[in-house]
Amino acid sequence: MLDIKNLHVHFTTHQGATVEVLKGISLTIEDGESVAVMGANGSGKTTFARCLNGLLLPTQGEVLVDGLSTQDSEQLQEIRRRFGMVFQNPENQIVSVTVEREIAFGLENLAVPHDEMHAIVDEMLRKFNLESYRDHPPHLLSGGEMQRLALAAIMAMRPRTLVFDEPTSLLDSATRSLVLELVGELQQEAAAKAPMTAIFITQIPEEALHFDRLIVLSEGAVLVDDTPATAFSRVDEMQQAGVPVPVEFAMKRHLEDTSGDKSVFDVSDFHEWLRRRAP
Amino acid sequence: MQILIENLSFAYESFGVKADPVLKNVNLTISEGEAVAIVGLSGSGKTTLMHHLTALLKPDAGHVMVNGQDLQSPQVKLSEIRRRIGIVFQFPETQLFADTVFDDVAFGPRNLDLPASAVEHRVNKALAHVGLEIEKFGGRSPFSLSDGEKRRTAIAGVLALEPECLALDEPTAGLDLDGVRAVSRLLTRYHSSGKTVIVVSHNLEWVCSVVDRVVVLEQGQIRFDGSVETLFAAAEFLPKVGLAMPRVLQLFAFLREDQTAARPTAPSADDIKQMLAFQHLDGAAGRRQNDRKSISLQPSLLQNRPVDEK
Repeated sequence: MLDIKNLHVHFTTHQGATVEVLKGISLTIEDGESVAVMGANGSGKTTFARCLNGLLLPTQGEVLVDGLSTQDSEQLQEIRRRFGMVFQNPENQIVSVTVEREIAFGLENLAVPHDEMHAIVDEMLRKFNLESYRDHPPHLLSGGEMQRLALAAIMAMRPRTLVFDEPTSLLDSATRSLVLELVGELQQEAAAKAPMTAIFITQIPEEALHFDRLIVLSEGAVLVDDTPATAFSRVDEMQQAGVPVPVEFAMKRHLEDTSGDKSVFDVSDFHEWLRRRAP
Repeated sequence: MQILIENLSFAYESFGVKADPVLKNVNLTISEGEAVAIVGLSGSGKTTLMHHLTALLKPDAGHVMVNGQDLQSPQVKLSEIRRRIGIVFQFPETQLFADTVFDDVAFGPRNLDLPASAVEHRVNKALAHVGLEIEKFGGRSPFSLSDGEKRRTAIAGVLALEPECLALDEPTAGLDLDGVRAVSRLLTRYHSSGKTVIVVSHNLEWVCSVVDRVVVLEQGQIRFDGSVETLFAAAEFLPKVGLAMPRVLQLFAFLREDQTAARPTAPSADDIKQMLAFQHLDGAAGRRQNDRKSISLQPSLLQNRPVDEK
């Protein structure tokens, strides 16, 4: 369980000014939850994510991971072991000389037995459609392929908590859905043994709809913490915070506005319709 | 400026071995003043195609001609071509380096040996294009900016070379609503000044709100090349090339089927573009200023709405 208590983070710029990036965030994320995080650039999403596993430490307040404080340096290694992070620019986190070895890298460090490691690498190559690139040097992959590789390498380790910081910014919508399905699959597989938590930062509102809970940050504070559908129905508030909403919420709002009728259509009917038509 | 791509094929090489071709016999003409999107799955060859525009990669077969000049000809001055076609790479903000926004944007023009006054003029103009006021941003460190501002600063650095053609690779990746809106505006502004704009993007819906023509790549081959209107009308082919049907089109289809809903008539391409703009550009801006008149989507949408029985 993640317990975030009155989390403040301040940075000092090199001109000496203090910037308050997070201004008192308090929330709890239970094991096995699937949470999307949205917010404008500069709202504190990435800072928030980096506080979760102690990459950044609170200026004030605390972050407890299963009761362990990120400020306790003795526990930091144990805390980090429980997290897998995927960042926005995949080039920043790829270390190996081939695609296959990149996926194996984390598993090797976790001392996963050889046969099992091979099986997991094969599975990830297949799931992320990277089989034909097995022996490719990662730097020759396209941006989107590299993003898939970064995801595969982290998800292969099956960490207790997955934290994604806009990991799909270079992916087309079909591949994005695939990534989200895989996250769901991993969570389900894990549920029987130890529940896996997924925290997914995104700018793409349709992605947030796949999660049970949506936290919207605005200027370093929690603006909304609700189900995605409820959050997105507050169209004006979301757009004012610089957060886009899926087109159906914008359309509903617009039609209601122009017709004065509050029942033009039900967004959940559209979602049901999409599910029925999904291949 | 006219760009003519003829029978272009290309494969990357790794340790002396050619991999599978990334581009296969691509033919494409882009005329002066066009705004063209190149869309496709990751790995479909979008970025590779863009890198051929300024001979950052050399074709294995075929030609890239700019204003009738073959880029492989020894007479072509590539430095000149690269000034006239400005490429904005993926995550261009990672290339910011100077102490101030002004110096970063001025780097290109200074290298053209322009006098200081001309450099300043160009920096002013470029920053105005991307919507960053020079008084407010010029003296700031690029590293103190938000992600969207960084992206715009990097784009301004390319604009300061005053290219006739601006080619951008995934310019909205990772940007928030404000950032996307700012990029949309600068593209529209640059295009309306008569310049050619080429946008590589996986985000079909966004890109349709800023260009007139869409080229769809699949596994290195062109599967579609036509207007946004034609693309919307023929959208059923998109899933066949691995692209998702734009959500806005699905929404219109749902509304047509749903008996209880508004039942709009078939939306015109203009309705769709407006809805996308509403989502991505003018809508939010309009809302913020409380000016809803900027959206005139409505009439054709609600025409067939059943009359309420009272």
